[in-house]
Parts: sequence; structure tokens; C-alpha cells
Amino acid sequence: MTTTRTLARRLGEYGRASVRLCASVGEFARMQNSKLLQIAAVVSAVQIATFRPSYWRRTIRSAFAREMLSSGVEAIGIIGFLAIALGVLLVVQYQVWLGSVFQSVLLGPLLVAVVVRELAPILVNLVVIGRSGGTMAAELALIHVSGEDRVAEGQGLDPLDYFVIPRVLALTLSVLCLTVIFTACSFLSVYIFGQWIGTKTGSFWDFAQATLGAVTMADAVSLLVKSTVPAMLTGCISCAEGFGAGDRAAEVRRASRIAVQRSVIALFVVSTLTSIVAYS
Amino acid sequence: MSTKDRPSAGRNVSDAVLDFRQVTVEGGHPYDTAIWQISFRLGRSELMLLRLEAGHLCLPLADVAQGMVEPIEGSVSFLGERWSALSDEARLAARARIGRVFDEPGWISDLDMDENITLSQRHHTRRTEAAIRDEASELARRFSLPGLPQGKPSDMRAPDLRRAACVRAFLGQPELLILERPTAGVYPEIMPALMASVRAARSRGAAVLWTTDDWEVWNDAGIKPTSRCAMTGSQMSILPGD
Repeated sequence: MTTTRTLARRLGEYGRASVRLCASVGEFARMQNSKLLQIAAVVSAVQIATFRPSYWRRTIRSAFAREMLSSGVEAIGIIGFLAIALGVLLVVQYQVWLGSVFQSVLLGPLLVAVVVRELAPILVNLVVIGRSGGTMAAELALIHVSGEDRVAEGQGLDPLDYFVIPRVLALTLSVLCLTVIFTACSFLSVYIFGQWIGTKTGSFWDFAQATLGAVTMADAVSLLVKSTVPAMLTGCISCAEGFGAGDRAAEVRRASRIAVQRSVIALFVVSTLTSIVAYS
Repeated sequence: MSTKDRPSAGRNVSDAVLDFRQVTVEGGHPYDTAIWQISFRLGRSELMLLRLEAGHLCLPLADVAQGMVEPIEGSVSFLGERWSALSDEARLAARARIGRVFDEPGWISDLDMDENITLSQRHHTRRTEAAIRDEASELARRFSLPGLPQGKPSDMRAPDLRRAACVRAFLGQPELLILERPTAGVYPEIMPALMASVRAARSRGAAVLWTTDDWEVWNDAGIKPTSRCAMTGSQMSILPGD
């Protein structure tokens, strides 16, 4: 009798634990779904606003310019440094792995494969996520906690229009421009450092022709997608995490951390999918 | 007499700049208290002085008046239009016709003070920057500031922020002024400028809702409100006007 009661009690405990587990899984799934919908809503709002002339009032243009300065112009230094360093590393590895016989023939295609197709958009996005993504989430969380969004709303400015959309658009355009700058700087770095250590790069025009000639339409589209889509997602994720952080200051750090994590995941998912579609 | 018992018949609805009907709003962050079944009507050129209870200074009243918070019961109309019936764009445009001195904090920290003050005008109107800045500078001088303030809000002294908040509220000749404790920390030196601005606004037909927790302001003979109200908990009661 006692054994039966013990068994029944244990079964009851297992049953309750299973229900709790299912509830936790369901709650987690519901929250993730809600976040995804939030991000999708921000993405569509950004796309609609971009092409609506009435959206671009002078206050929005100022906010956009401020964000371009902070996420784009101020990041040129670090992007230029990384591009030059990458160029030097590429030339060194190129010297080690390939004989001087193939150098001038393979340099252009190799640079395009390594820099244009993969490294430039990923590195630039990673730098921007580190510099601006977490900061953006923290900024927006603070704006929400301190009631600045209510102040803007009270003056007839939609917080989404004023705080979110200019940030997301500026981040997207910044990453695109920084990727172009990164690519150009790394090519120049390869040429200059290659000349310095005696790699056969040919004349500047031969080098430019070989490199640019290796760029296909698929490379250009891939570069565009890999630089803009993850950047837009970074902006939307950071803004959604920031504004959704709750009303307490303690949530600011958490919002910033989660925004960075999710942006990195989004970057690699988009880059992988784009590479599979473009080159497989 | 409680405000919910106040008769509302006998006046044209379109005369009312702000019309609260049996408005109930829940409390909770960021408010100190809820509001319960509040009714009042504020017509053109009228001034309602509202006394706040100590410890219950942050009310949802101003946010509800601006259509930023939806009441769980009742309705709020601004210039004859119910906030709930307006589209999002119309709501934003209507808010541009309201000048407000926010209770702390009321500034966007990322913007300089001059940008903060002129934000609404630059966003909603096609007036030139120079015209907006000229009007703002004139108001700033009236409120004893040396000119249109520059620099970030965090660099300003609290009394100057209050003065700047008044400049922002009166800029652009709004049709409704919501002054949330405009004299906090600057009484009585701000009173001459504030009273002159309120008088000018009322003379061109603007309605004014002025809240205070300061007995000296409440008893100031110069204000001359058309109605006086007092908050007790979440309820508002109407007191005899001047």
C-alpha cells in the first residue's frame, strides 16, 4: 500500500515537473516569437519611412546626420586601421603559401574571394556591432527609462520616427560605406606592402585591373546584401532591445548585452545564407 | 462638489479646448497615483489652477490631456476631437498645438538646449530656423535667460532648466498650455514673466492648465484662475474660482 502511494506521489511530481518544463518552453518560445515580430515590425517601419518623402522633416534629417557621424564617420579610423592590417596579413600569407610564379595571376581573384566576398562585410559589421550596436541599445534603454521618449511624444514626435528609424538607416548606410572604404583600403594596403616586400603585384593599373576584373555580379550583390541586411538587423535588434528593456535602469546593461549577442548571430546567419545562395 | 457631478450642459462642445469626461486612468510607473472619474472642461482663455497633494506630484493628467495615455474609462477631447478618434498622424499634429512644461525630467539629453527648445516648431512647422530662434530668444530674455540657451541639458542649472521649459512651452503660440509645476525652484522670481506670458496667451484665446503643490503659488492673487481644483488621492474636486 505504502509502495503504491509512494509511486503515485512520484508520478505526480514527475507530472508537475513535466508541466512546468512545458510551460517554460512555451513561455520562452512565446517571448522569442514576440521579439521576432517586434524586430520585423521595426524593419518594415524603416523600409516604409525611407521612401516616404513626408517622413524626412528637418528634425529627422538632423537626427540622421548625427547618427551618420557617430556610427559612420567616427568609425573610419578603426576601419581603415583594420583594413591596412588585413592587407599586410594577406600579403605575408600570400608570400608564404604561393610561389612567386603564380603571384601576379592569383592575387586579384584571391583578394576578391577573401576580402570582398567574406571578410570585409563581416569585419565591418562586427566593428559596428561592437561600437554602435550595444551603445544604441543602451542609449535607447536610457531614453526609455528617463522618459525622454515621452518628452518627444508630448511634443508631437513619434518616438519610432525620431529615435529608431534614423538610427537604423544611418547604421545601414554607414556599414555599406565603411565596407567600401574597408575594401579599398585593404586593396591599397596589399599593393603598397606587396611592393615594399617584393611581391609581384605588377604596376598599380595592372593590379587594379586584375583585382576589379575578378569581381563578378554575384560578388557585388553578395557584398551589398552582406553589408546592409545584417546592419539593418543590428539596428532593429538594438532598438527593439533598448526600448523593450523595461522601466528600470538595471535593465540597460542586459539590453546592451543581448543586442550585441543577437546582432552577431544575425550577422553570421545572413552571411552564411547569402554565401550559400550566391556561390553554391 | 466632486468634478464628476459637475453639469456639462449649456456650453458648446467646440468652445472647449480640453474636455475630460469621467476619465479614469490606472496608476503605476511612472505615476505616483491614478486618476478616477475626473470631469472638467477648459474653454478658450480659461485658466484652471490645480493643487497637487504632497507625495502625489506625478499624475497621468497631462499625459491623458495630450492623448498619450488612453483612459480605461471616459473620454478626453482636445479642440472638440476625441483623442481616441484621431489617427496617429493627427494625434502628433494636435500635440504640436499644446505647450507643456514637463515635470522633471523634460529634456532629450542628446540634444543641445536650443535644439530641445525649438524641436517641436522645427518638426511641425515650415517656419524658418531664424524666425523660430528669434521668437525663442525673445521668450528666453523675458524669462531672465541671457538668450537662447546653448549646451546640453545636463550642463544647465535646475532653475535655468525651469525657465527654459517655460520658453519651450510658450514657443509657437500653442492653443493649450499645460504647466506642470512651472514655478518649482524658481518662485517667486519667475512669476512676473510667467504671468505676463500666461496673460498674453489667454488674451489670444489659449487655455491654461496649471498645476502646483506650492501654497504660495496657490494663494498668489496675480494668477486669477477661472477655476480652482484640488487633487485628493485620485479624485479631483472643484473649488470656487476667483
